[in-house]
Amino acid sequence: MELTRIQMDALSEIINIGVGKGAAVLNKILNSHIQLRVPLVKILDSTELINELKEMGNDKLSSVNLGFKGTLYGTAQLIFSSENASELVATVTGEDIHNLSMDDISFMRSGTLSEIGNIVLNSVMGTFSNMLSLPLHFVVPGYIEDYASNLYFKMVEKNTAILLAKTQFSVEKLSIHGDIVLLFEVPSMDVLIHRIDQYFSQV
Amino acid sequence: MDIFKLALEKFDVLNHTPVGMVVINSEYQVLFWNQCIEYWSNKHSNEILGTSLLSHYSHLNTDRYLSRIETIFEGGPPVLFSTHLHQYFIPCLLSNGQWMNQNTTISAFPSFDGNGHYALIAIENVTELTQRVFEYRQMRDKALNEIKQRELAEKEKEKIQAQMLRAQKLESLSVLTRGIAHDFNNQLMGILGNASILKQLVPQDSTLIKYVDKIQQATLKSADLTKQLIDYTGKSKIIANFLNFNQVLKELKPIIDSTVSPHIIVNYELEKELPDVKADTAQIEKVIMHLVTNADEAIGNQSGLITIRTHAKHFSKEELFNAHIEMKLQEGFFSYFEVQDTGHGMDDNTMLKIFDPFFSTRFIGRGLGLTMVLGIVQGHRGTILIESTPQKGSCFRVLLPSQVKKPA
Repeated sequence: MELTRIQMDALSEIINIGVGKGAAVLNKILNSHIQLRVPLVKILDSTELINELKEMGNDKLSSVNLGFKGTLYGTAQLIFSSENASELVATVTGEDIHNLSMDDISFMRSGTLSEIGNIVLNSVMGTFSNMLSLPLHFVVPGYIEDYASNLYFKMVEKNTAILLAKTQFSVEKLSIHGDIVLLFEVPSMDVLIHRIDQYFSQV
Repeated sequence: MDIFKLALEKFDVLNHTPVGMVVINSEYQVLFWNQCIEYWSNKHSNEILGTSLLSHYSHLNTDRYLSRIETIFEGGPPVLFSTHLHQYFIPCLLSNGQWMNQNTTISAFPSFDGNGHYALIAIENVTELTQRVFEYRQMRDKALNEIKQRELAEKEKEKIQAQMLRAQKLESLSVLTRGIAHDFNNQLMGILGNASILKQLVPQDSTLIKYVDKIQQATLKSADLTKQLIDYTGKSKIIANFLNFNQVLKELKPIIDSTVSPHIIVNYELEKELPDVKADTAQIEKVIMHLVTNADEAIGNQSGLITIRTHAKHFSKEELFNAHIEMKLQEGFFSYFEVQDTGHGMDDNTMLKIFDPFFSTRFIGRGLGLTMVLGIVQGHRGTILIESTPQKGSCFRVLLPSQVKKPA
């Protein structure tokens, strides 16, 4: 799917605004000062996404998923590599990950990352919904740990449009990379693009 | 119909779930309070229905909660509160006096009048899971600690075995040396006594006098060597007094400065309030002088620095573990002096042998100097700690138990 430069800029801006709101909420609830920025947004297909996520390493990925339906159908995800997930959890909870067992890390990861992901994804999807006047219904967020190929194997066959926003979490001196992935069914992507064009024609 | 009755009718099924369920409107007024949360919070629905949730639980009346809950009334995505970041949403006291750990999910539910949304709050009790993880962590920490202790004990056992072997070796050598030194000393006394008589019998202007003098000098030197052998055994007589390392070093300073090669700088860093030790001044002087000479020789012909420090501190069992002494020392407060040089340093192999009698890295030495140092320190129930890095230098630290002088 080809998007014009203006459409891509608009998507970047909306995601950046959403992520900024997410950072503001995170700062309220966490003791650490968190900065979030989205340096890159791109449209991919599932194979390209899997290749992109492989850059995070060969370990399992930690993914917080927020399903949505309504004018748009799809799933918003916040994905971290195993190592980055543990570091982020350790930083915000003040636990030393080197002193934790895999069970501890897993339990803490699922709880803490679900909430962090929930905050970021809610802000991003809320911004989409508000700015583009897209009424959406959301399902309760879920947390999955799995390999990239397993996370997206169903989509390889389906024709899914994917919006990838590379997100940088800066927590004090620590810089953690996480990816926001928005998976849309193609008709939804068309709706989204149409709304973006409408929005900018009004501005 | 009354809104609370309507809420009860709509949400009655939630009274049968093992999850705390609460419904509030955008004014935070409680519309539904299920039986589970009633039981957990010990707050009956009659007390809370129709009132503001914030008036009961003031911690919720903060931006960190409100800013997120507000989005729900606008139909926003579900909001999670994890127990790791917020221990509980509704404080519930457990029978053991602890607060319940909760994971809370708040979802938007269309309001009955179709105008906005209610917040449907689902509270999950994760205390047991959190407790299990906590117990697991405690168990793991305990196990790790036991393994560490076992490793430490194993290491200590190996060290004790090595020390015992060394002690046996040195003890045999010590017995032999003591025996020889004693017998040899007796013989020397005989020679010295007879040389004295001979000196009286030989006319003072005789050319033989100078040979008698040489016999006497050689005998005295041999007696001194015998004394060193006895010192090495750590069995030489100690005339112990309260002594302060700073004082000894101040008195020795002129001798040290004149002994050390001119191209070497001697630096003194003496602790102001240094506790006394109980020791034989003459023997401690010997130890200091020997260590300084050793440092001087380690630096050799190059320019360098010798630093002599005094200090006092508590030494733990772990710190004393690598001490060069055969007897087991208890942890405690020690006064010490150390002689640090910027000389050639030693490798591990050399470090293991330096206290062995007659071991020397120099041709000119007899290899008894450090053996004597160890014997004296051991005789004072002290110890020696050594740090050395090849090409960088060595530091010999002599520790004696600190003494608190009783008022006269």
